[in-house]
Amino acid sequence: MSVEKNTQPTNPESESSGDPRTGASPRAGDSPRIGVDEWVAQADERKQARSGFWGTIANRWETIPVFWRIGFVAFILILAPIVTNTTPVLSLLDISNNDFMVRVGATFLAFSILAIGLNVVVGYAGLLDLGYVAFFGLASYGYAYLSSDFIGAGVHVPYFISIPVVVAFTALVGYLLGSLAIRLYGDYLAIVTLGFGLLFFQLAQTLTRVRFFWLERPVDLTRGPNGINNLDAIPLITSRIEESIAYGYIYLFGSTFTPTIKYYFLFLIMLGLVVLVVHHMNQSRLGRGWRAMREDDLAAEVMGIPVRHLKLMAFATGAGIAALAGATFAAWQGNVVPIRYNVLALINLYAMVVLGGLGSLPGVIIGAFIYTLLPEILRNVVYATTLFYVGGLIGLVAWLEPSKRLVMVLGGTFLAGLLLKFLVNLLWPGFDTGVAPTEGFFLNQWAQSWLIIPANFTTAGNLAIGAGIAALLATVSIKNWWRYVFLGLTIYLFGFAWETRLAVEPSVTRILVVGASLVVLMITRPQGLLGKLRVEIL
Amino acid sequence: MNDQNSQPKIENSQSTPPLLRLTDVNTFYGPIHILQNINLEIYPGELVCLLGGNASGKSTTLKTILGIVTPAGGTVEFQGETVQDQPTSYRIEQGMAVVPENRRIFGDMSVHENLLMGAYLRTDHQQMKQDLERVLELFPRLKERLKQFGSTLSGGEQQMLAMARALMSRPKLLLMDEPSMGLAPILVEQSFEIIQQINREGTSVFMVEQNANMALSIANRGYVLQTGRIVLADKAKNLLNNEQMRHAYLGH
Ligand SMILES: Nc1ncnc2c1ncn2[C@@H]1O[C@H](COP(=O)(O)OP(=O)(O)OP(=O)(O)O)[C@@H](O)[C@H]1O
Ligand SMILES: [Mg+2]
Repeated sequence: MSVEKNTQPTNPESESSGDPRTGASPRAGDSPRIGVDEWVAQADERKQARSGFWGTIANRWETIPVFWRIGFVAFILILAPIVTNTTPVLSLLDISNNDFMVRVGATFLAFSILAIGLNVVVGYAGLLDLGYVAFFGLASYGYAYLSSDFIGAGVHVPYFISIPVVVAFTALVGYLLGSLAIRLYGDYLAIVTLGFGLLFFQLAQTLTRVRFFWLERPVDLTRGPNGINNLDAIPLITSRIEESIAYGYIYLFGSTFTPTIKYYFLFLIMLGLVVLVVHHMNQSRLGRGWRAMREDDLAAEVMGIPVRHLKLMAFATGAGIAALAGATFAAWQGNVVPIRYNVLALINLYAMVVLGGLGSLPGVIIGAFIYTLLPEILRNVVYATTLFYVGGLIGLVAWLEPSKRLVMVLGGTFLAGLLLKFLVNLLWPGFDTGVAPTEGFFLNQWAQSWLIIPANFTTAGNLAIGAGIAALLATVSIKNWWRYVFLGLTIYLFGFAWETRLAVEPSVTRILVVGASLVVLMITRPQGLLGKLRVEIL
Repeated sequence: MNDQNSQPKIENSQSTPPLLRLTDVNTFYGPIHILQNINLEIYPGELVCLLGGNASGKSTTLKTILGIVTPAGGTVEFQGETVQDQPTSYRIEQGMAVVPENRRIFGDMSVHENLLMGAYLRTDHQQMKQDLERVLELFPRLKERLKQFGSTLSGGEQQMLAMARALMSRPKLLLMDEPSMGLAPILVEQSFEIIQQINREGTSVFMVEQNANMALSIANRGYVLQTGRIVLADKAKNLLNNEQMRHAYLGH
């Protein structure tokens, strides 16, 4: 073994993967062992059989003890807002707004909490709850009523009372909605809860003139689409402690302890607590019951598992967690507006949970991270364009692997594009004269000098999105070499769509990217990034 | 051999109160009247079977006993206590366990986890460990496959797992819905032997079976269900010799 090591000192991989040329394969035990049931013997190994780049990273990561893993993540999360708010980092990233990165971070943490709550209901208990954002909203309005000038001359309950009250109330509403919906399964449950979510959104927008028979004038309950403003802030533990922390912060880091940083840490503390509680719940008997019930609730029932109670617990816990995030989020923003609790927010949360992997806490947090960061990146044309082209290239390399095919597709597409541009300019001068809205960044410039940009590119760009998707579908479904022609076409069309439309329409692009990432996920990794693979029974 | 096993028990049983008693039970699915005035009882230590054609209401009887469906009328008593208004989990806690129709193994869980699910309501962890050992002795095949996922077990192994899982709760009354379904003849015989063994060790068994001959050969008593009514109730030996019975179910 040591001799082999010396002959190949530069390649540490050869040790673990076994080098057929040297003949000294460490997998000498690969031949079937007589009398040992291979299936049984492999049960453990099958889980470990991860390969490729991510597989290697995941395996390495899992050799670190859990305590250190959590410590490492916590360390980064604590340091991140402090480091990103320093001048050198901000100027490096070309960001002028001081709190920008921290704000994205706090949003990520808040959405992690929300997604974990959703994960309890959908991932653990297997209940398709489409009314989840209503709990988020309900808690925000609850906090607004208890901590603003909205009611009467103003109600200002201290946060350590108002938040528990709001959480308990929302959990109770979750429990009640659960007991109404408990008899429903799958689609029906989804429809009823979706109705609840939409109803909440509608009521929040319209309950501006409610007549109570004992009052003479109609009452404004929600202030409609404008929402309620000037909510009380939440101090970090107490305002006295917050002051001294702020003082120490300036002393230590030389920059101001802004409210955004404070909420970042509030959310971080809450996330830690929520993860702890939820993890513990899932490890306990309750979690085992959820698992059984999610798989087969009749079988769970006859094991003596109180299925009804467990479902209600899941609803209430999910609602309570949403409320914790909701109240704090409202306090941070200083306002509540109905638009924050619409179906798009729901889709966003579901995307996080599904992408990360239903039932996996780290997965859900990663999902929240990706989908919070994504729109921020898309908002900046330079970042978005870099992500688009580099991501596209990585995707191509991952699919075709560094091979002749890859070179031929890329080279062929490049040459075909040039040829096309040359022909169009020759036969139809004056057509390729448009100026795409993305200028300046070198990747944009390169792409535009290769693409044909007609003078009126808006319609063409919209068409290219559709045509690109069609070409992509053709690429995926065709099996012979024609697929590579369609792949080239896909690259061209998406490049065109990107330069003319997508790069400058972040809101559209965001929806497309969320949709596309979920489709890709469904094809390549249906269990989500960190979810466990479910064995299908046929 | 059978007579030795069954005779004395029946005589004893009449003097002690029944473990389970159904009195005038009527069960509906919506407007459809399924069970009509069902009366049956199972005494401690007995092995009783419930026979009947397809759709005669056998599974519905078990569901009524377990509380998955609630009878519109009549009483279900378990250990002298009226339980028809209690939830399923309560009845399991009191000592019922079931091997459900079609096994209903948790496919996403390992064999070991499946077994622990059977003991969901128990908190005596020391005892549970012992019971796990005992159950695995009864089903050595499962012992080899403790880490394997439920869904990757063969049909026969799943049936064993379903039985083992039910035993993990240390039931007083074991309900079984067609334990021989889908098993090869040799496995049917084996599992019937195991059922007998379980019964000999003190667990009362109430078994729904299509395999009337086999079931009656190990049972003390039997009931015959036909379109929701009990049409015959007798000692197993008598049922085996019953003319009508032989004509309708035993096929010889
Ligand atoms: N959930 C239900 N809703 C409506 N009808 C039902 C339901 N479950 C069973 N039935 C009906 O009740 C009748 C009795 O069903 P049951 O399952 O008790 O029959 P079984 O005797 O167990 O039959 P098998 O031997 O085929 O399992 C059948 O006609 C069946 O269609
Ligand atoms: Mg049946």
